Order: sequence, then structure tokens, then C-alpha cells
Amino acid sequence: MLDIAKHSENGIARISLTGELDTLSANDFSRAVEGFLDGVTHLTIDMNGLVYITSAGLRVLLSIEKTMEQQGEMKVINVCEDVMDVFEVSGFTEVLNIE
Amino acid sequence: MKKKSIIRKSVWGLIRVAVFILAGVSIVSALTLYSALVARYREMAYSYLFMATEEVGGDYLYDLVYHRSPILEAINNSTPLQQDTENLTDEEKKLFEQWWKTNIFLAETIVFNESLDHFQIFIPVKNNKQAIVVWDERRDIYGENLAFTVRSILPEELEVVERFQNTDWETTFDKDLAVRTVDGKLTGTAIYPVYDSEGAPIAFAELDVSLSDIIHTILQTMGFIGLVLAVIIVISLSLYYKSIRKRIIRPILMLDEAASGIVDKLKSGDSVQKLDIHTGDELESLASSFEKMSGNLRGYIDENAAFVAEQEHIRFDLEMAASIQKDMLPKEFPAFPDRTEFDIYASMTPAKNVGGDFYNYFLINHSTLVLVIADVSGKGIPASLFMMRSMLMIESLASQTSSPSTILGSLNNLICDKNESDMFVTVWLGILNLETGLLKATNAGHEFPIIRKPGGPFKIYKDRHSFLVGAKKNVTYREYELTLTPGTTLFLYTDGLPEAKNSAGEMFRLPAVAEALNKAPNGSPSELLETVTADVNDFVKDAEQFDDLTMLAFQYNGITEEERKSVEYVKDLTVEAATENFPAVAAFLTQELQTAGCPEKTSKQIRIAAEELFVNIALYAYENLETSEGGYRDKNGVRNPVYIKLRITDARSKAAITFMDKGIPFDPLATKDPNVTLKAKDRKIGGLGIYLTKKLMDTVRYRYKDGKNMLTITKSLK
Repeated sequence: MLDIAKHSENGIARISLTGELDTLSANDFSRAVEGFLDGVTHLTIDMNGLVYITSAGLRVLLSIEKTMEQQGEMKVINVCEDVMDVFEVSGFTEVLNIE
Repeated sequence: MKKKSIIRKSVWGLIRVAVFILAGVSIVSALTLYSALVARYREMAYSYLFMATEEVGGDYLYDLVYHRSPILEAINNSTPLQQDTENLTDEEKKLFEQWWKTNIFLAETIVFNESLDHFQIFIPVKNNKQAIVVWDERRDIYGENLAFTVRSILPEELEVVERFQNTDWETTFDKDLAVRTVDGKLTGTAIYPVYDSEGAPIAFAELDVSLSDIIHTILQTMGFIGLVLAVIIVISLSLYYKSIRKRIIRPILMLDEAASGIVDKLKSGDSVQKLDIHTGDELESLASSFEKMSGNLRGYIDENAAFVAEQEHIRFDLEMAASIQKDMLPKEFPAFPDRTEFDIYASMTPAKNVGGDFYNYFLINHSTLVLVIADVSGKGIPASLFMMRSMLMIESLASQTSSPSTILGSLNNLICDKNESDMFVTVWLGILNLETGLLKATNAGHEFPIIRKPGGPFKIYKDRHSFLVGAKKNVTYREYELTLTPGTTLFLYTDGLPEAKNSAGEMFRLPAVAEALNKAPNGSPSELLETVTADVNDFVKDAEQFDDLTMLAFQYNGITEEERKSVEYVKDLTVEAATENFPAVAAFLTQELQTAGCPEKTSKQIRIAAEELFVNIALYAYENLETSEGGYRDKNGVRNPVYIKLRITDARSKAAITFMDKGIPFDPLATKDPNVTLKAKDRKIGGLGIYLTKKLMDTVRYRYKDGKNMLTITKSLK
């Protein structure tokens, strides 16, 4: 299960993820951000509460990262150890701006 | 036994009575008849003599004797006769014959029609010294052959003559027939005086009457009477018999028939036979009482049958309850044939059909064994229901925590919340780490365990007691730890063992239990239970036991290094290749890895790798078959199957998971690893899952064999 909370104001947006970002929930996440990023210049993804992630989730993150590279900047915060492990082994620590 | 019929008895009785009556009547009637006949003959005899003497006429006879008979004249005038003589002269004879015929015969024709034995005239003469006797030679009264004699008067005749001459005979002389035997015949003789005109007796007429005739008549009459009486009696008896038979015997026989086997008849459902008895007497009332009794009996039999059925039902229920309860307890031994680290044996002997004792042992994961022994207060079905509830709750709670004190604390509160019956249970609960031998235990009011360390004797282990379960809410349960070295034996029991009583009321007691165990301290758990059972049976003998007897012996062997290495087991799961099935796969893996003692972090990494591989298979393996044939089905009917095999090896220090599918051959490892160091815009999205899998797992291998894609990942669990 994945809970997605999003907020956007004056080009500054925030997405909070809670639960598991796996194959099944990755589609929900993908659909949730579709169109949401239009006009967003500063995006923060809060992963406080996200305990699990698979390549499907990584793919959505990568796609968001690609979009944000063109229109502003993006950072990922509050990454738990297990998710960080996945970021590390997949090289995402190099791709994402993780704080 | 031959029955004597009531009718025969009563008829024989009646015959006896009849014989007595007959005899009595015969005797009385014989006597009456005899005296009546004698009286009649006497009357007739005297009537005759009276008539005869009247006709004879004393004067004429006097004249005849004293004046017209020369011989009598001679007698009268001469000297006394020298000898008795019959020599009357012919003239004298003619005179007498004339007299007899004209007088005596006349009288006879008037009075008598019956034969008279003898009639004679006795005439005393010569001053009563001599007598002339006249009679008929043919001994009748016709006087055809008259005979005469002149003889001396005999002394006994003289007595009679004098009495007649000297007394007023009519008033003083008893007119009885003088009975005597003449010529062998019973004869009665009547005597009557003949008077002259002056009233003086001149002669005596004598008449013999044959009493034989009388007796003959009596016998004849009596024979007739007897015959008549016998006929009457026979007729009466037969009537009486018929009456008795109809009024008494038949109803009794009917009652007898109705009564015999009445219970069987009623049991088989036959209706109570209506008795056709209308005698209007006690028998009819007996019959109606009998019918009433049959009705009552039927009711009673029905009630009894219902009662028996109910009892049978209860007994069946109890047996079922006992069977269900027994089935609840693990009772297959060896309990864990594939486990060498320990050996266990237990038994429960309920005192009644169902008891309140229970034992249990189960693995909550590969290396954790739970041991339970408990005793519910009370016996029978209530105790057994309470026992089942407690047992199931412990099993359920043990899957959530591995702390005995926590389990019993929760159990206590759960039971206290819903314990209307105020029952309670004593529990000894131990949770053992089979790898380390660490035992955590809580004793909630139960008996002390008996423990034997390797090489030593069995000793009572006085562990710390907590309060029993189910009596008071929010009780704190204490837990103690004990490390079992390999070779340690644990003996658990309920109070039915030390408190087993013999017929003298003595208890077996705990030291005797330890003593029994120490008879063969090296015995296996089953041998130990055998020894203790034999000792306690020998002690109680035939005394009935009122408490359940439950025992559990556990032997800890530990794990050698070789065994540790060789520990390996395999778990399988087959699901359809669909992404939505992954949660089931994840649950399976997480559960099994937890059982194997896998750290949570490692488990999560394995889950990610598994998801990557499974989703890959789900999306692509059966892609071409999906459209053309509606999917592949294996021999078990599973559509587009994915076979997952989890193998735990090297003493559960390593996990290997293989994913197999029957789809198109495809080696995902052949794709090139994505260059993760590229900037995001330069990266291709595919292949990331395989890459992640390779990174997270220790090894990833692909093989294609027997038409199957086989992908195996391994990961150290340390």
C-alpha cells in the first residue's frame, strides 16, 4: 500500500510517500504525478514513511527526475535505511539529490 | 416343574369331600333305615300277634288244653311227665289243627302278606312246669303240617312266662324284638300273651321275623341311594368343573398368558391386550387392575426406553468429547521424526471420560519449541471445554510472542474476561531455543518440573511459581531462564501423578516419581513414561483413580556442528504468473525466512529481488501464449504457473530461491547492466530490476532445463 500526499503552490511542490512503492503501487504513483509537475520549479519528495521500493518505483522516480532536470530542481528527503540501501546498490544515490 | 392344574386340585378335593359325604350319608341312612325297618317289622309282628291272639281266644285254648284233650287231661291229672314228648293223640292233633286253621290263619291273611320264619304257640301247663308247643313244620303260618311237643319249660322261658303272668304287660313290657341267631340267620322274635276271658294269660304266641331280609332290604336301598348320590355328585362335579373352568380357570389362564412376556410384548411395541374377562368378581377386578398395570408398565417402559436412549446419547456425547479432546493432544510418536535435537513423549489418562489435563508441544519456527503442561480445575465436559479453550489460546498467543510470561499474562486476562464458570488452570509453559538450549519458562501454579542433567539423577526443580491462570486479572507472571546442556531430560506431569492413591488412601508422592525416573535415568522419554506408569500402576493397583494422569518427558540432544551444517529444508509455492499475485509470494517468503531466523533487513532485500524476478516473469514469460491459446496450463491445472522453491541451507545460514516458469526461454541476465553512473536523462529504463536483483543478492543464476526457465538467487542470512 502506498499513500501519496501532494501539495503545489507557486511552482513549489511537495510529494509525501508513505508505505511501499512496489510494482503495483508504482503505477498509482506515476498517474498521481502526471500533470502535477507542470510549472513546478522546486520539488521535494518526502520519503518519511516509505519503507520499501523496487525497480518499478525507481523507474517512476527516474522519470520524475528527468522531467525536473528540465524545469527546475528536485530533492528527496527523509529516506530510511532500507530504501537508502536500494538507492545505493542501484546507483540512485548518484542520480538523486538526497538530503 | 410340572404344574398341577388348579382345576385338578379342586376336583380332587371335591371328590374327597364327596366320598366323605357319601360314607357319612350311607352310615346315617343305614342306621336310620335299620331302626325304621326293625320298628316296622316289630309293629307288624305285634299287630299280627295281637290279631292272632285275639282270634285264638284264651278261653277256647284253655278248654282245649284242659278239657278236651285227653292227653292234656292225662297230663293234668297224672304225675308229671317223665320226658318231653311229641306224641299227642291224633284226636288232639285234629283239635289243634282245627283251632289253628280257623284262628291263626285267619289273622295272618288279614295282617301279613310277607313270609314269616316261624310262628308257634307256647302254652305253659302244670303250674308252669311243662309246656305244649304248637308250630307248623314248614315254618310258615298255614298250619298244614302242625307239629306238637310237650316238654319242660326252660329256665329262660320260665322267666318270660312269669313276667307275662305277673305283670301288666301292656305297660311294662318292652315290645322289642329279641334278636338272636337261628340256624345261622339273624332273627328277631316277638312274644305276645294269649288271655282268657278273665284276663289271665293262658299261652304265648311267638313270631320269628328274619332280620336277614331286613338287612338285605337295607343294603338294596342303600345301594340305590348310593348310586343316586354318586350320579348326583358326578353331575354336580362336572357342572362345578364347567363353572370353575369358565369363571375362574379360563380368566386365570388368560391373565397368565397376558402376563407372560408382557414386558417383551410392550417393548416390541405391541398394544396391551384387552382382556375379555367379565366374571363380575375379584377376577374381573384383577383383570382390570392388570390392564391398568399394563398401561402403567407401558408408560414406564417407554419412559425407561427414553431414559436409556438419553443415557446412551449422553454416553455417546461423552465418548465423542473424549475422542475430540484426545485428538486435540498431539499423540503421534515420534513427534518429530526428522528432528534429532530433541525427543519427546507424552501421555494423558483421563480419570473420567473427559478430563481437564492437557499437554502440548509445537514448533513456532525451526528452532523454537513450545512445551505446555496444564491442569484445569474440575473434571468432565466443562473442564475439557475449558481445557480446549486454554490450549488453543496458548497456541495462538505463542505465535505472537516468544515470552512465556507474556503469553500467560495475556491468557490470564483473556480467560478472566470471559470466565463465568470460575474455573482456573495451572500451566507450566516453556519455550526452548533448540539451537542454544536456552529455556524460558513460567510456572503458573503448576507442579515442579523434574530435571536430570547429563550424568546426574532426576531432581525436583523448585522453580519460581506465579499465580495460576484464570482466577484474577492483571497478574504478573514471572519468567525464568535455564540453559539445557545436550543430554538434559525434563519431566513434566500433573498432580494426578504424585496424588495417585492406592486402596488404602495413601498417595504416590513426588519422591516416588523421582525414584521411578531414576530407575532408568538414561531411558528415552517413552521408556521413562513407561517406567513411571508401571510404578504408579503397581502402587495404586485396582483403586479407582479420581484425577487425570498426564506426563510429558523431553530430552534435549542439542545440535552438533555437522548437523548444523547439514540442516536444510525446502519450501514450495506455485502461483499463476500475474503481478497481482506477488503479495502472496512475498507473504510466503517473509514467513519462511522469519521461521528460518532470517534478519528483517535481509528478508526485505530478498523480497525486492523476488519481486523484480516475479514481475518480470509475470509480464513477459507467457506473453505469446496468452493471446493464442488463452494461456498455458500445467498438469495440475495451474494457468501460467510460476514454481517457487525456497531452500534453506548451511544450518539456515543461507537461502536459495529458484523461480521456474514454462514460458518462452529468456535469460534476463544476458541483458547488459545499465550504466547507473549516467545522468538520469541518459539512462534507459529497462533492465533496472535485474540489475537491482544482482546487486541485492549474493548470486543470481539462470538455467534453461526440461522446458523451464530457472532463475536462482542466493543470499546469506547472517
